[in-house]
Amino acid sequence: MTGLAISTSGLVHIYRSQGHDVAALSGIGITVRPGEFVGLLGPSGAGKSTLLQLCGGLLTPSAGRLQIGEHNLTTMTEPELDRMRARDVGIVLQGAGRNLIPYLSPLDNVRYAQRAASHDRSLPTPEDVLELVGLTDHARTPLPSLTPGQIQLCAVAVGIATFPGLLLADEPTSQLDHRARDEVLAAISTVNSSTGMTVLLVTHDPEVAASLPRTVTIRDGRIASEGRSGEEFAVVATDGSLPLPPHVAGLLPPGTLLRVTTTEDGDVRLSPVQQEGQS
Amino acid sequence: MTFLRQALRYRRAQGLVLAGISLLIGTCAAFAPWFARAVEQTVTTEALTHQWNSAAWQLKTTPSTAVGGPAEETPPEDLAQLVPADLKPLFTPPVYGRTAVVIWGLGNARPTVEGRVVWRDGYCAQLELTAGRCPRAPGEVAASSADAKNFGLAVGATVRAQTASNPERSPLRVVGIYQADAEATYWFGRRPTGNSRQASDSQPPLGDFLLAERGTLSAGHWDAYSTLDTRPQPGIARADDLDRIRQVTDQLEAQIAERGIDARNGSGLIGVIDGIQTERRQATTIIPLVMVQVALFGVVVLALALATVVDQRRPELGVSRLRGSGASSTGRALAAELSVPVLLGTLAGAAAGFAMLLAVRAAWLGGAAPLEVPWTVPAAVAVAALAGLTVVALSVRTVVRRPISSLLRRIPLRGRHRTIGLIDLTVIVVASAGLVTGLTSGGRGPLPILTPTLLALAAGLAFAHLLLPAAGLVSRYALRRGRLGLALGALQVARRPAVTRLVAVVAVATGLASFAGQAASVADRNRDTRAGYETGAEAVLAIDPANLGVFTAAADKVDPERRWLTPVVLTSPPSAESLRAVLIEPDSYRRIAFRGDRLTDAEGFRKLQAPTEPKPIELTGQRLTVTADAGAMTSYEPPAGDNVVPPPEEPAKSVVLQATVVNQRSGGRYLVAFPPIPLGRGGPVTLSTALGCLPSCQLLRLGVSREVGDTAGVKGEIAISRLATDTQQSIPLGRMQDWTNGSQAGADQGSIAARNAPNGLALDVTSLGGELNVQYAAIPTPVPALASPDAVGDALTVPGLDGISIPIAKLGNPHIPVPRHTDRVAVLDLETARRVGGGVDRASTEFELWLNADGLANVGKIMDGLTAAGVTPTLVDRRSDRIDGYGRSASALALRLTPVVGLASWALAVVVLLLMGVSSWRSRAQDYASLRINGVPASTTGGAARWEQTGPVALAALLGSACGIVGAHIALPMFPLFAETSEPSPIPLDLAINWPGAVILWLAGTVVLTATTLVLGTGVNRRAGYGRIREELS
Repeated sequence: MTGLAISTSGLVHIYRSQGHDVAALSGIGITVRPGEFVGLLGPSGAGKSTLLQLCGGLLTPSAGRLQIGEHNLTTMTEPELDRMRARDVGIVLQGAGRNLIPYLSPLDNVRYAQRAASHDRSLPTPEDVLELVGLTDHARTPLPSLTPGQIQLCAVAVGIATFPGLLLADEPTSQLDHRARDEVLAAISTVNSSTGMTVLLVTHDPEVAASLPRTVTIRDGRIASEGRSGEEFAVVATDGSLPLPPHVAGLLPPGTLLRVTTTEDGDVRLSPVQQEGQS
Repeated sequence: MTFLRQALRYRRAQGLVLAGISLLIGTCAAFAPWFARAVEQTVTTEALTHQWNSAAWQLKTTPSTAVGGPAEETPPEDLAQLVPADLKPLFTPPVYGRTAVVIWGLGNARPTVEGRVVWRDGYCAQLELTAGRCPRAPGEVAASSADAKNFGLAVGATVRAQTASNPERSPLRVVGIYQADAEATYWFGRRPTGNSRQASDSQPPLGDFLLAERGTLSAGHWDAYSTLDTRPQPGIARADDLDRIRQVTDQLEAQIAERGIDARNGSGLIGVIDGIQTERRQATTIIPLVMVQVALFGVVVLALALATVVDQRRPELGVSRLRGSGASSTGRALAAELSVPVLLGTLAGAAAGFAMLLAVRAAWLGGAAPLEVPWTVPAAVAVAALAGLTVVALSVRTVVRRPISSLLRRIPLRGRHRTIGLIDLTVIVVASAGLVTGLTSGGRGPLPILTPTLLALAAGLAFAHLLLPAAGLVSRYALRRGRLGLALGALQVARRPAVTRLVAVVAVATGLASFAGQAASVADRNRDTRAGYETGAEAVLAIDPANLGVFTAAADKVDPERRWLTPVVLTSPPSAESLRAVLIEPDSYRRIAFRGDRLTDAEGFRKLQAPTEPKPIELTGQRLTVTADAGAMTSYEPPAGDNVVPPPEEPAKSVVLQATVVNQRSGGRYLVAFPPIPLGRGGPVTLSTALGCLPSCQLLRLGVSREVGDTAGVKGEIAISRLATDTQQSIPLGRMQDWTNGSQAGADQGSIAARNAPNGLALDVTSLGGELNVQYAAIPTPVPALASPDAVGDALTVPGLDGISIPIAKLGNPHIPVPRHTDRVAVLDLETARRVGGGVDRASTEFELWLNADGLANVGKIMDGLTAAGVTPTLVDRRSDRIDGYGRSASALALRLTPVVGLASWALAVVVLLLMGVSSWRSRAQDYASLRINGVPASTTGGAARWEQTGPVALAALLGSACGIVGAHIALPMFPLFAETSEPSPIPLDLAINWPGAVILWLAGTVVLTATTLVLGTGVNRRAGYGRIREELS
């Protein structure tokens, strides 16, 4: 099994509600390679979850291009999206309980998640899935008897029940203590490393973000920066725009003219221009 | 299947709710056709049981008038061929018979007693022999105990009988004396009547049946006719057989003619079957319609419940869609899961319907209906199941087709208000259209019965939509006034469109309950009323007195103070078109008869009564003597017409003074004529004549007649100075104004008038040969009477006790239908009729004692007393029996369901309230938690939480109850409370609203429903803690 690539370009999503349009994403362009483990960061309302739901086919993009592996999500019909979710994309929603059928055991939850794909190809056994996330011992334990961490692991197991090419996880470590958080993160890492599954994970937790090989920070519906092994970088968008890091943007009020120069050794320098009347 | 089982187990409560509602729907669906069918069978059996004589085939050959005529050639067995083979199992075994009409006499006496010699197959088993044995050989007869008493028949006696066409007398030896069981259905109305009497002045002697062996009538020439009696067997002849039986009965005359049999069938079976069919139609119309309202209401509640259940499953649906299941497959899985309780509930409902049928069959139908499964039952259950599954499919489809993002939301997106309004508007329009159609359909079709539901639905929804903006206004007003609790509660109402459903459901439920209560109450009242009118009182005893005196004496002996009974006498004319007379004792009738006090007002009763002044003139003795002077009488020639010469006549010879007296013991009215008083001789003469007045008589009339052939005119005064009997020296005759012209002669027959005379009374007479009378004013003429509205004309008469017409003066119409004897009837005072007198014509006179409730309670004592007084009482009618009879009618049985409807409606409304509570408590609790965190006291949020639903529910209960009452007022006149097959009954329906019942039902409904909302509201407020805010934010 190989992971699926994600490729977006100029991705726009607008929520329409009672006459008000709210742009959640304003031209996102991002590329994730197969098997990559990417964290999505950003403040609340930045558009992380919207991007995740777009990738899962739960929302339809308002504009732009969105490609998951061979799937062009901007043109797919609802049945095609269903098939994609059944085979290729696993989703773990924020709030572990929302991913699970409350009256089923972890084993049955995994089985339940495999139902739609069961006719298409050979699937891992539910026991294998649970073993991968470390829940073998609790395969038949009723959900109310599990700890929050175990429930979250179960949600992850359900998300990877068919060993999809892409796992989308929305805040899987939120509301967990450190130990549980680390267990969940370790489980997802294990899945990523052992199956080659691409993982796109939304998190608020800086410690989680720091442990990820790549992070993408979204702000105001745009990609604000990317991180590589804990170091933050500004990202030039496909249209050439460059969101400034917050601490830099704070120094430069809107309307500030910047002089862009390149140095001989290839650095790009941005210098504010002192205008008349400005102190 | 594993997931399905686990899902069902996890959502057990939801499954039980769905199954419970489906059970109610299934029960209604199965029970309605089952019960309707059972009622059809019951009314069939009841009619064939209680109208067994009308329902019988009574075939009778025409008796021959010639010796050896066709009657002899048609043995009764030949009549049996007229019963088709396929119907024979449904009919009772035929009772064959032969009858000869004879005149017989005891021993060698001249035959004078009219009677019958009768053979019936197996008659001996029906007899209770008081002496001797049953006849075994030709020429032997058994005589009734009545004949034995009246004519001195005894075992061993010989009577000789002859027929009208054959003067040869055949000897018949009495070998037994029997007591017939008059009620036995074996006789088919051809029973020995016990109606045996000796000769009287007006009637020849009458004998009871002389029962004989068949051989008796085979030998000799008896002119006998054959009979065959059979009838459909109740409990074996069923509803489905009626068409065939009717067809055969209808064609019976043609069959008789085709077979060349000289016979005819006296049967009212076709009428009985038509009555049954009318009731069957009522049963198959009313019962399903009564139940379908509950079933439809149940379907609506099921839809609401499913909407709630499916909405709660949204997260699971979202998870399923999230894992790649399509909308269809997800929907199918959920529909399958929800269909299980719905289907199981419906099937259990069918079983419950059967159990209910068993219960009502035992309780209401007396177990008379067979247990069967008409095709309508599985069809109705299938339709119910299909309806349930359709509701499941629609409920699931509505939700499952939403976008996944919507399914995954914690709080669902609300539908647009405009859409909800449009749906409700459509329902209002459709319900209003149905209502208008029902009201303008003239009572035909099913819609009138649905009126209350449609009215409540339309009014409830309209009210609900008015409630939302009104609640907004109230909220703002209360907020300005600082009444925070009210403001919050009203605000919650205004912002929750689901309240419209709640209000509509409560309105329909209370409307149904209110209508059910009114229908049951009005129907009960009308059955009671009609039974009262038809019976006349709580019970009626038929009496067989020899005369009115015996009758009243017996009544006086048993109940002199009239605490228990009132005597009533009915006299009927030969023509059914003429007026009958109901003779009553006004005082006791007012107290004892059903609504007797409403028959007329006090003034009417006063006018009806016999005058108290002057007192009747009593005569006692064996001879009557008069001293009279006719010396002033002269010849009189009536004025002739112009140019007309009167024929020469001999002068008048005499006048005959006469008196009409009424015997106080026998009631007989006699004319007592004195010897003629020769004319032309002056001075008083004393005349005497026989008078049979022991113990006493009353003087009814004084009059003048003439000797035979003496028709010449005479005019003048006859002064009566003394009237006496052998026991009374002088009998005062009163004043001239105490006498009125009671002559029945025409104006051209002369005239008579009373005048005061110095020594007594004088009669001014102009006689042209006819009889002239003045009537004593103690006996008014014409007799005042209350005549029913169908009595029209100026010269009304009713038959007196002797059958002779009595002119009546119409006081007016009775204010109510005359109880028991309603049509073409005049009510007269019994005492007046007694004073008018007359030997009782038994063929046209019925004597009854009407009993009140106390009388009925003491009926045994009363009957014993009457028997001791020499009359034979028979309890012929009881109001309670008639009420029971009406209670077994299709209409009554159908209306018995209405309490079930009311209770089911309340139960469904409570279910809806609970569902609404379950589905909305979280968001409501979050709202109140938000308010609390902003400083609103818990008591205030508690008030708001309790009243936000309680207020609308209380208003909806009031509205629904009002709709139920209005609907009942509109629908009940169109509702067939009774099975009318011919002319509508003159007894008016009392459709007045039972206000106490309506108020009680409204209060009970309000208490039940608002108690539920108060409990739910309290629960919501208790859960409105700060943790609820965290839950909302998470």
